[in-house]
Amino acid sequence: MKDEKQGNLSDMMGPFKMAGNLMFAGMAGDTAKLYNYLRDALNVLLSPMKTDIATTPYEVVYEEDRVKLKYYKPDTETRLKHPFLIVYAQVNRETMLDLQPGRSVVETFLRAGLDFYMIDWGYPTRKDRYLTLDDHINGYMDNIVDFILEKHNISSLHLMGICQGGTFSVIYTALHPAKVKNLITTVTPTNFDTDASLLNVWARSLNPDELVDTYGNIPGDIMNLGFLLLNPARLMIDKYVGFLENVNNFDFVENFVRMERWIFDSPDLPAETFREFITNFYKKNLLIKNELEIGGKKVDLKKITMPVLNIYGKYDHLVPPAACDQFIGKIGSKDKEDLCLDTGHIGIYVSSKTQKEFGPKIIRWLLERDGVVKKAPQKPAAKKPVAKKSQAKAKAPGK
Amino acid sequence: MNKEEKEKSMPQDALLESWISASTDFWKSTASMWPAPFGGISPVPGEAGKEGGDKSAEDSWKMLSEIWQALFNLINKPVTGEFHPVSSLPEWMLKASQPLWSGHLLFQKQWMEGEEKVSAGELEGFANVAQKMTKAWLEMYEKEFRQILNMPQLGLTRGYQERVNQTIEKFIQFQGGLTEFMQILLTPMEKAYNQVGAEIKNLEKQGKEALKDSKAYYQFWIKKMEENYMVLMRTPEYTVTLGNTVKALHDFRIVRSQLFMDIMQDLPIPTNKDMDELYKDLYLLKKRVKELEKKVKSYER
Repeated sequence: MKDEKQGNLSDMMGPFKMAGNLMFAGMAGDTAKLYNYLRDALNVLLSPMKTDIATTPYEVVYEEDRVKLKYYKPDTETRLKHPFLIVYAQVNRETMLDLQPGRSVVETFLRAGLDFYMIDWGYPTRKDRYLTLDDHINGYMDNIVDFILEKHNISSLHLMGICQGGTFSVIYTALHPAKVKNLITTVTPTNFDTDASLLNVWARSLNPDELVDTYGNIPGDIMNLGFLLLNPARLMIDKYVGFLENVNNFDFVENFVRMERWIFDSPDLPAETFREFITNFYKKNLLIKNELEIGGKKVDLKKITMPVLNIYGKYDHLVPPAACDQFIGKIGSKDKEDLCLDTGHIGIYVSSKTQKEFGPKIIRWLLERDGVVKKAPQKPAAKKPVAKKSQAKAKAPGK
Repeated sequence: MNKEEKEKSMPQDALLESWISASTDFWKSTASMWPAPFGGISPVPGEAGKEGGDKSAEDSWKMLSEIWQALFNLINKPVTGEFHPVSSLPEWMLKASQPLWSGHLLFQKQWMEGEEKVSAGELEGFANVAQKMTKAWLEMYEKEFRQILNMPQLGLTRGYQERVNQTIEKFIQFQGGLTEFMQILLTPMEKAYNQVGAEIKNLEKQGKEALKDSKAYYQFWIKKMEENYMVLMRTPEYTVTLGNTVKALHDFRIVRSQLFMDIMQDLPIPTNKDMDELYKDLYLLKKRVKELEKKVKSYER
């Protein structure tokens, strides 16, 4: 009996013994290499690094409670006739759009001569726990839009929403269509009735009331833990193994640290907003069903009649294509376009490959619809370099 | 407990009883050797103080005995005849230690079952064994200890004591839930280790060379682990365990917060409840001011 047991244990341990032997053999055979690796790694880690994010200069032009409005102005002459407002999500920070030179949507827009405003939702504290979706959309967002319109003495602006900020922008546009000239939604969830993302599966089983009672505002760390648990093998193990493998590469470490700084810079979520978001969207899917009410007013997607560009990522594990691709079919616009890029949720903004597609596409689309440049004729969908589902009509936009 | 289990537990019960009896004898003999005023105090009332011991000490001892007797009557175990506190200890201790003892037996049963499986060549993963042990502990907690913590409290401090007990209870439940969740979270990792082992065996059987370096092992392992996680996370078991853990965390934090509020009442610090009420007022006031501001602006236009 004892021998059998020992045999079983030995069988179990076999692969690990073998792996260990190989590893140590490799190390022993390459002592000099290992020494160099450790020396270089130490040099890299002890070197001064530029890991600051969002370094592009901006001006804060409006402040209300914790919310700020940043204004980015290009060095060259501005090209847009209408002001352009970007609304980021309340999960993580808008600094992701300006992660580092060469991987910055902010930089791309400025280089193209676009001036724009960006909402910084700030860091909610306990006193923000009662703020609802209505307070954010019909309160802060509407006040900001009014401020910009008044400043430019104009009646409408271009609105671009990112992730949850996109959902806010969709709701805002449906409630205040006259104030939005063109709408761009990027990785924006509008249909929550899908199992394509684990986030949807889990959120449906969550009891938001319990979480709100437990924490008040939902801590950013709890949100981040949830995101990490979506793929623990890659996000909690493999990612850091990759770091150790490249710890002797200065550029790699600098980029890695910069990304880490962004990922874990997570503001808490205002309690009531979180409760409403989980209940109305993830659990009841009210927006796409045209059954949502905000501030006592019905959010009717058919009231969105201006040109709309809807961009999402094919490999997005947080907001999968199934969460984005129904929106275009539900709105009243005639000039509307779905664009599915071969990338993920964050990659759409930061990957070098997507930088060549994402920013330039938005710039071109906006300039055409702002009347700055003549609109290019629509290409057939099949010839486009990325997976794309277009319903755009070749007609002058929004007019 | 079925007959078989009873039979299995018999030697342990006998062992416990003999240990309690031995320890009681020790205290009995120690008590009889105590010098006056405590000395002369025999475990048998009436025999005390014969050698000029303090009368009041004897009275106190007698009173204590009566309290013991009353306590035993409270737990529906009337003691007949003259009450002997020290010699009554075995029975009392046996009763009091019953939850611990039955828990120990349950654990032992789980462990032996695991051992039997290993002996029979059925290798059971560590995560599975650990899960079973945790479940056993939680079952035992529910059956035995939880009732103790939920005993009704009396008197002026009743409410405070209840909150202390509830905090302990919810903390244990949360720890149990968290342990179960962590164990579920470890299963894909363990499964991936086993898959690596099976793959190597398979390659060897086919006469192929096993993976050449640790990197290849790692890549294979991480890929398998990712796959296993993707499967696990879509199972109802995972969702339910996650939900239970969050619920347990909620319950614990609520009672802990109430306990802290009790404590903070005596300190010059506002509690969360105070601050939330204040913030709610502030929120409503600000909202009202903003609405009025908008109205004024629209009139000005």
